Amino acid sequence: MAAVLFPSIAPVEIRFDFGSFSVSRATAPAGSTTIRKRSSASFSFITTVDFGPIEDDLAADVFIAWNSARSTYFPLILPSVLYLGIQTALRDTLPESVQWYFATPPRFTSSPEIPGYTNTGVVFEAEY
Amino acid sequence: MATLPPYKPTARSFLPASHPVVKRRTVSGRTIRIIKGRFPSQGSMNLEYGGEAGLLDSEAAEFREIWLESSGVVEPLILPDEVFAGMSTKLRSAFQDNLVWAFSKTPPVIQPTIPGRSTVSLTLEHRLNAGLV
Repeated sequence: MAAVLFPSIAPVEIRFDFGSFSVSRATAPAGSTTIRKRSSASFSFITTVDFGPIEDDLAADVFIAWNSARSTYFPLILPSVLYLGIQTALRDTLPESVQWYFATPPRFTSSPEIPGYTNTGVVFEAEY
Repeated sequence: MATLPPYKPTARSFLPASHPVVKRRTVSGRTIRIIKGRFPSQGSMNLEYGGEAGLLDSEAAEFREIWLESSGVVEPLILPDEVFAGMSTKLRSAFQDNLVWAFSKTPPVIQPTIPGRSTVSLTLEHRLNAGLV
């Protein structure tokens, strides 16, 4: 399976959501007791990255990565610059064996009044 | 095909088109992904015109005319260069050539600001060219 290299851009803000177990829930017939059960072995992570206003050509690289990855189909190789400023203790909580994917289309916002720059944001997801 | 009026938007945001990918979770919990088509579709772009000053009402009315001319969401649109003003060639060319732009679900929203002037906001859809299906 081809993995797509995500461009090396330092984020201005990054947020990790660790993560959701798949849980099924049922209410007992008496109606008072809710039973929760983990329904699969998977565990998901969401990482939301805001790159702020970046040069259009870098935003285009994000766009091209989205197209190359066939949207959410192929996994991504995330550059280490993405974790710039995050201490090892936190970074080590991210399992290395997971594969990252785009979770949603990248978001681009720009204005002709500020030519050449585009606000860019990406959401990645991983499951293992 | 109708052409959007040649005014520069004051704000512009877009989401690229997506390939049809579905995720399935196996009994073991592993997720598999299936791609169900060659071409991406359903990108979108929001455009806002006028800013604080607003467009002249006669200019804002042109957007209403275009909506009628394109039969709402039915006919594709030609986007003038002004829509992409200030955007680098590389970013603009990242848009897929095999997709066409059309109005999304709703007509342009015209909001009067001061007498004689209005702002306009609209959503376009980047859809698969019917010739490729």
